[in-house]
Amino acid sequence: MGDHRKGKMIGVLKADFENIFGKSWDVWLGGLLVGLFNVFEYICKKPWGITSATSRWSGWLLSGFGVDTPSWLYFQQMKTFQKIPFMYDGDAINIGVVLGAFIAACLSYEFAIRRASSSRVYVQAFIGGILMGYGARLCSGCNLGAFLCSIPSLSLSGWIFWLGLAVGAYMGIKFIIWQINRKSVIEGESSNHREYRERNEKRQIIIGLIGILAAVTITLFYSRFTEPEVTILFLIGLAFGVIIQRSRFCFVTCYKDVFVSRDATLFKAIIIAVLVSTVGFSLIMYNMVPDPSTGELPAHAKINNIGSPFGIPHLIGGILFGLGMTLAGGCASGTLYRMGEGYVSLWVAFLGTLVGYVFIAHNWQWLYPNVLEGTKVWLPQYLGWGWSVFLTILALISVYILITYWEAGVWVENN
Amino acid sequence: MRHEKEELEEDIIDLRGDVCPYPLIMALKKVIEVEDRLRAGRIALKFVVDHPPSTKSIPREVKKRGYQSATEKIGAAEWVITVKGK
Repeated sequence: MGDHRKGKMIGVLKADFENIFGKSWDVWLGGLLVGLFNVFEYICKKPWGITSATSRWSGWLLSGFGVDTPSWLYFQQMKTFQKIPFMYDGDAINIGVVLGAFIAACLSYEFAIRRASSSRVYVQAFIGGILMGYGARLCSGCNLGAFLCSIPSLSLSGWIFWLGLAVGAYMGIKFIIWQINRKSVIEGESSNHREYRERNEKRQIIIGLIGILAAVTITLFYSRFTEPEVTILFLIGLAFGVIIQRSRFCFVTCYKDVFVSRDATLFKAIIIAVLVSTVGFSLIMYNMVPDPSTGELPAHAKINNIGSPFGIPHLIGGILFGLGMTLAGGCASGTLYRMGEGYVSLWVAFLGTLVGYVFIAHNWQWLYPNVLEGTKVWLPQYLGWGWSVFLTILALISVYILITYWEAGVWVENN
Repeated sequence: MRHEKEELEEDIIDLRGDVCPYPLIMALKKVIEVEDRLRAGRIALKFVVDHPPSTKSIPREVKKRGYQSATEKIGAAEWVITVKGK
């Protein structure tokens, strides 16, 4: 009897494992979970962001090479030299995302060191990375900090960035289509077909277990040497890594689906993430600033400077970011999870973003006081709490319905 | 009356090492290139991909255009998507 029961249990566990790692998750589930964990993260400390933390890495690196980055205005504003490198909460999240995606990829038998098909990919990823890094910091955030967390912060900046992102991604995809069509024939006929990789399902699960061990070690390390919140944020980062790897939650994939396939499934999943975050963030922010007319802003909310005149710098930043991510093959979060999946080109793109941060940090001295400072627009200050939340949700649902209508057009045209 | 039985030609297209949006756009270009032969059932295309989102988008797009496809996982992050005419 005992053996029978044990066998049954193992069978069920195997089926559960297969459910989680055997096939990719529905994107709407990914959107829902990203939204929820984003709220958890704000409850713990601050909304999900990537580039504030990674831009500090540029400051550390340069200072390691003897550049006087501690005197740069940008790195001072980012409080770059107040802690030991990699001990910031944002670092913990980023390391968590890469590691979480690595573990999920190994357990799903989807990890592979993917060398790019040609050196063109690396050059393009590097350039894309630079554009992404520059654009992100011009907007105080990437696709997360400037969009996924900014609209839920009831800030105008998120909407401007979203528009810029779409324009940039459109330009990037049009460029790539032109680039591919320029060549007369798709190369890769049977003759230059490379060998298949060796099958190694067992080994990959073992590597995944080593990844889990590393995650446990880092958790213990953080809990021993720094504040508890950093440890919690590391765990949330791990969860994000698993979620976005399993559901392939990436903004480049999203805009590729929209502009190439006229398919908005992922686009709508992203709207779900924003909607969930909006509800959670509103509650958190309301508890901090019940009366928005005082001029106080809720701590850590992603209310970003849109720049003057009329938010145009923010729009430009969004376009740069959208174009950059398409050339690189991953948005900020997508880059991290694909680094964990073993894409060499996205490690190159990540290096590119570090260079992009250096460029903007260098311009910051002029850029910040002349263009950006004091251009935050927080909707509750103008509309009050009720209208701000209501209009934000209404606008999101409208976009959802409009894109569905646009998507439906493809069936009408084809039939 | 059939004159002679034609061999089903197979073309393997290696799309490994490319990231979104490349694999899909390249696959679609290839499909359009051999459209006539594909519809007539004289050729089958085998796309080798290592980019997980492509395993969703390529089958979805060729289906929209009226082709059949089958996806097989052949290794670590390696899939072969076979596309045939009806």
